[in-house]
Amino acid sequence: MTTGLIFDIVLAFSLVVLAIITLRQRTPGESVVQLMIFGLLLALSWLRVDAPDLALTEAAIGSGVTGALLLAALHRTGFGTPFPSAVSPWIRYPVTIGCALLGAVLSLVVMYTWDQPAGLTDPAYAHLEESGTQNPVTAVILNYRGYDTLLEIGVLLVAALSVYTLSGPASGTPVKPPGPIFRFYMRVMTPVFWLVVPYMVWVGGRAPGGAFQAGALLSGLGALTLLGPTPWPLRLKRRVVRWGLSLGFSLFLVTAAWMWQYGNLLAYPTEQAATWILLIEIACTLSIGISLTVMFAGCAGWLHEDPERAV
Amino acid sequence: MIVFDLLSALFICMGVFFFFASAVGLLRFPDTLCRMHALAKADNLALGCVILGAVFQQTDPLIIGKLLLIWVVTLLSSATGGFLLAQRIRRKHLAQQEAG
Repeated sequence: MTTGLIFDIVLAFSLVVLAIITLRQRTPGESVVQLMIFGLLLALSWLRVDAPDLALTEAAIGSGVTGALLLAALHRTGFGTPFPSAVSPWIRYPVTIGCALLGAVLSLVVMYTWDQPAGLTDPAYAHLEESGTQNPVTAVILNYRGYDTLLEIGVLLVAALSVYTLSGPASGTPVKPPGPIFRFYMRVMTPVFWLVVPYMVWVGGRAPGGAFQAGALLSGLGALTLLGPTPWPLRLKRRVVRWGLSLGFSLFLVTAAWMWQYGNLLAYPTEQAATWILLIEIACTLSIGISLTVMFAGCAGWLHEDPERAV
Repeated sequence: MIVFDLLSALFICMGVFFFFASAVGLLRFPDTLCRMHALAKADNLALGCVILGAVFQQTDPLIIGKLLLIWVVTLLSSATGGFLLAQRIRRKHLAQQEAG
């Protein structure tokens, strides 16, 4: 037995155990913390199957942002309040059995297709030259399967707009005071974030990275700023925020329509592909970052602080 | 280079030892502040050792820089996070004492 195999078995076993632990916690606060650890281990397992792009996204969005959103929501409802009541066994057992069956079927599919030729991998590499990017994952996301990404950005916009619209007047302001250590941390880390976010967008053209990871990082900075000494994003004009939210989706739609003159929606001519992909990546990074920050503020109940001006 | 391999192995083993120690501390220490102490101190030292071990396997200064940056950022974040957690716990204790 090789060391890698032992590691994988331990990892897979820990994932299952952690999933059970996450579900069996007494309070939502404990569950969320377990879920974040689960997300990190899941990211590690994506790395084990040579999918660093997915690993980055899982760590940043699956563990980091989701955890932050859930914790922000718990900030209002209470970390330690036990879950309201046990779910009725008439729901619990059918759901458990259904999930187990689904898992079994998926495992069987993976086992039976293990030695099959690797699907669309070869065509994806064959057309990499014409796709306008050197990273096959970015090529799939923004060129071959641009529609999927367009709709994903749309889903994110709808989610952010729902939070934005449905959160009532602010139920509180960010926790005060942050103290000198946190202020120092923000002073040091803010420039680091502003360096890493553009780097993440740029590096997506040839290595793991891209709009989703960079946007998640940007929203991390947004959430930190909201918790910090000057939560200036809360004082932005509503118009600015709305433009920021819709920027990525709008540019994506305009691009799709613009490409019609060459025959197909969202089919870039080879020589223009790199430019369009970079533009869409930048716009989507900003929008993803702003959307997730708005959702964080909305979950924590800090939106619409001042009916005239606040976010 | 055999020397670098040995150094790598030495540092990574030290890192594993400190990770183990901090995990034991997390499980065995009596209250939240002590447990945080185990995490904030031993874990960061352990990460530093593992990263040093990894640095000895690299020749590209860019990758070495990124590895060290990971350590510095983790140190800063864990110190700040630890402070914020401790502050919250202390406030809670004080509030409980005042209440009765």
